Amino acid sequence: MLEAKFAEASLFKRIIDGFKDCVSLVNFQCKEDGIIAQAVDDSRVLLVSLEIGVEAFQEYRCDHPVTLGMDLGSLSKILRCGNNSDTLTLIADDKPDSILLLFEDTQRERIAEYSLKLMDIDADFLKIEDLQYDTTLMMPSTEFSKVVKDLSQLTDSINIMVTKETIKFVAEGEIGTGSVILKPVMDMEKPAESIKLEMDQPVDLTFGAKYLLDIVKGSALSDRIGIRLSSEAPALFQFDLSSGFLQFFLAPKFNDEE
Amino acid sequence: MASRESQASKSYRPKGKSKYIQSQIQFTSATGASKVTKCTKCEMTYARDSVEDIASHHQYHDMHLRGRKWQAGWGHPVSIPNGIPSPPSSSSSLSHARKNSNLANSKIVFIRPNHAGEINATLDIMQIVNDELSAPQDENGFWSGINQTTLQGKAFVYVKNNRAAGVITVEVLEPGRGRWMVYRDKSIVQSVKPNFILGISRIWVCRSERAQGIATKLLEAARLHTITDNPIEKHYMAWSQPSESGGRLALRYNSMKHASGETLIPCYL
Repeated sequence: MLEAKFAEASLFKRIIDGFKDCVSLVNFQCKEDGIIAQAVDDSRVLLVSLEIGVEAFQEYRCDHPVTLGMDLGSLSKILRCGNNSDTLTLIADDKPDSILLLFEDTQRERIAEYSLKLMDIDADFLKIEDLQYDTTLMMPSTEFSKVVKDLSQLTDSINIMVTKETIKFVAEGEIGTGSVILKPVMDMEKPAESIKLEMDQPVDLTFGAKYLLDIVKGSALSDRIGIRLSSEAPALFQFDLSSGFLQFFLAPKFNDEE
Repeated sequence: MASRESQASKSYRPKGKSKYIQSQIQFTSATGASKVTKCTKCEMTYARDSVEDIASHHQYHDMHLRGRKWQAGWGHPVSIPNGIPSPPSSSSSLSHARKNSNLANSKIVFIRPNHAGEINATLDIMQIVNDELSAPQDENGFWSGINQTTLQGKAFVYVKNNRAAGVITVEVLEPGRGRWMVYRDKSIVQSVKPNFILGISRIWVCRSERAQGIATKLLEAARLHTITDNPIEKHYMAWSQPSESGGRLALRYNSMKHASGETLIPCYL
C-alpha cells in the first residue's frame, strides 16, 4: 500500500510540470524511502532523474515497492483539477491498475478524488554512475532561465564557456549573435542571488537550445540551479527539492568541422 | 526489473562556429550489449547509443560518401588528361553543364614525400579504401616513405570542390611479379610471367562521385606522371587483386583479348 501525502498539491504539480514536456511515459518507483523516477527523451539526448525523499511529504507510507507507470500528460490533466493549496495524497495498492489522487481542501471540507489508469511502460531503470565534472556552477534559476530564453531566440545552439573568472553564454544565429557574461558573486543579504563557481578546468560546451528550454521549466521547483559541466560527460542540471532533486543530464553538441 | 548502467560519453569535440552535431547520452546495458545498427549508405556498423561511435560513423560516412576535406596547398598538381572518355550516362544538358562545372573545380595532385599534412590526409582516405576493399592497412610505405628509405611508387588524389574524391596508389614493379588473370573466372595464368612496369595497388572513388570517369583520369595521371618524363603504356600497367568493380574498370582500361578468346587482365602478385 502506498500513501504519499503532499502538504500542498502545487509541489507535485511543479515537479511534473518541470519535465512533462520532454518525456511522456515515466515509471515512478515507490519505495520505503521515497519515490524515484527516470526517463530519457525520445532523441536520447536528455535524461531526467527525479527523487522525492520522504521528508518532502507530509505523510508517507509505502509497505511494498511498487512501480507506477504514468503518462505525464494525463497525470498533468488531473493535477490541474486540484487547487494549489489542497493537500494531495497519492494512493495505490501493492499491485495497482490505477492510482488514486485525492485533493483535500481542509478549510472548506472539500474532497476531490481522481483515478488515473496506470501503464505498463517498458523502460529499464538506469543506474547513473558518479561522473567527474570539470566545473560546478550554482546560480539563480531565474537568471539561468532568462539567459536560455533570451539566447535561444537567436539560435538553436547555446555555447557555455567557463573560465576561472567568468561564465559566458554565447549564441550565434543567422540573424545575429548574443552573449551574456556572468561573474561569480556572493550576495550576503540575498544568498539565493549569489553565483558560485568551482572550476577545476575551463569548459567550452555547446548544447541544443530546445533541451535547455525544457530544463529551465524546472525553475519553478527551486530558486537555485546547479550546473555541472565536463568535456567528457553529459552536463548535469539540478534543481533541489526540500528532500530530493530533479536532475537533467544533457548530452552536448559537437562541431561538425574536422 | 532489469537494470542498465548509464555511462558518461567521452571525447566530445570542442565548440566551433559552424554546424553542430547533437550527441546522445550513452547507455550500455548490464549485459554489455549495445544497440548496434548498420548504416545503409556507408555500411558502417556502429552503436547508436555511443557518442564515440556516432562521431566515428559521422566522420566515416562523410568521407565514404563525399571524400575527405582537402586543403588547397596539399599535393602537387599534375595535368588532368584530356579526351578521357567518360562512361555512358543519360546525358542531358543539365548533366553536361554539371560535368563542365565539376571539371573547373577539379584537379589531380601527386602526394609529395616529406609533406606530412598531405600524407596524413591521404592515409585517412586509405583507411576508408582498405576498409572497403578488405585490404591490408599497412601497404602505404611505397608511396609515403613511412618506414621505408626509398620510394617505390606514388599516390595521386583527385580533388574536387576541396574534397579528395578519389585516390590511386601505384608502385613500380620488379621483374617476375606480373601475371595474367582470366577475366571470366578470375583464375591466374601461372605459366606466363609478363613484365609489367606499374602496379595499381589501390584505386578508389568516393560513392557520390562514381561513374563520372574519375577513376580513368586517375589511371591516366598515374600512367603519365609516376615515372618522370616517361609515360608508361597502358598495357604495362597491372592490377593487384581487382575487386568486382575494379575488374570492370580493368576490363575497359587495359584488358587484352587472347587468341583463345579469353579476356585477360594484367595483374601482379
